[in-house]
Amino acid sequence: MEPAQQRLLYNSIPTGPPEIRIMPFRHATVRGKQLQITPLHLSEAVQGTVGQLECNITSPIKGDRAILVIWYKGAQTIPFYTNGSHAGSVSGIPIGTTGPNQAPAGAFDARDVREGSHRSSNSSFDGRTNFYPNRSPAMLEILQTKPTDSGIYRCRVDFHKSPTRNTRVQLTVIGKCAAAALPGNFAADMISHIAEQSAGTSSTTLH
Amino acid sequence: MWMIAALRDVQVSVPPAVRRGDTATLHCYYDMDGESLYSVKWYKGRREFYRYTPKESPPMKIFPAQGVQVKRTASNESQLTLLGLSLASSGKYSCEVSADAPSFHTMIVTGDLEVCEIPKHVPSIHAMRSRYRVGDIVRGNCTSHNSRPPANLTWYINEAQVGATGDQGWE
Repeated sequence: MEPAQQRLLYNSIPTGPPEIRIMPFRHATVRGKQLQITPLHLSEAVQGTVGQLECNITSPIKGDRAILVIWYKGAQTIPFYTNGSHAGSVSGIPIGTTGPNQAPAGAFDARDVREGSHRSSNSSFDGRTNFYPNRSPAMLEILQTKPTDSGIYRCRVDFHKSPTRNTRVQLTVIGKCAAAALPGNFAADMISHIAEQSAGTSSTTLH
Repeated sequence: MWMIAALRDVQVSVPPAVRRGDTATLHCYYDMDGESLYSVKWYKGRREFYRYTPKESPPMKIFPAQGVQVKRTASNESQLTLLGLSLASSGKYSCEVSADAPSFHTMIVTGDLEVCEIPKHVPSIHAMRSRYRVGDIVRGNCTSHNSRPPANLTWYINEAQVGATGDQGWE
């Protein structure tokens, strides 16, 4: 991929709030061993059931805490690195998500939390996602998953004292019939799981 | 058609190549379009090393990263100045801009910075005698020190460039 360069068209000295500035910029280029990817975890959910995405929000520094957790659904996936045998690749698929636009899926705002108070706010940007920061590991749940929920999600954790941690989870939403077509007990487990989710009661496992 | 006011047009300006020991200023431009800024972060590779959060006091936070020395007095929410660049400073630098609640709209753009070592001296020739007999083979070493990336070296005989294979007759 050739880097693109634009001519300098307009340059202004900022005097007030940031305004549009058009300056030369370069696209990222792929280079040898330099990688700009984060580890990719995998998660699967049968369509209609709950999708669960893990995120470690514990700070590596003692006494530090997460102040903001933002979940993004990646707008684009541009493979930086297609060699599936690289150590950073969990499943051998292309890794590397970038894209200037990152659509927030949910946010957990704990910036104002002080010891003993719990004034954090949990935003679900489409009403179906819930974040559980107190679980171990912390978990994003997407209710009633749809095929369009499939994709790579980024969990960004801003800490007070430690550098930001970015982790990515790839969610694959499996169609019900696709799950039923899987061999062995997997299909049966999935079907009973769907029955539990939709009926809210316990069900007998189909054999 | 109504457009929702949202962070857009994030661009970085990174000098493509600088000399070792130089100072470089990287810019991150963005249009908040009426949204409030939460943070501007700079990453080297995957590691965040600079965070500017205007609503915090102090707004600037710097984390250690290899080959990165930030000049605080020349850095703010739209630019970052790096001092004493070393060869280890080369890499991908990303700027991540986030709007504040409720949207948390975020954009990330990346640029490449390469730190070069420019040779301080012209190349030198070694291991050549000043006199040869007709029919002798002439061999010599041409060396350029401290160059990164490696320099291209070209031989000239009587100010005429020698071909790559050296298949030329000289009288």
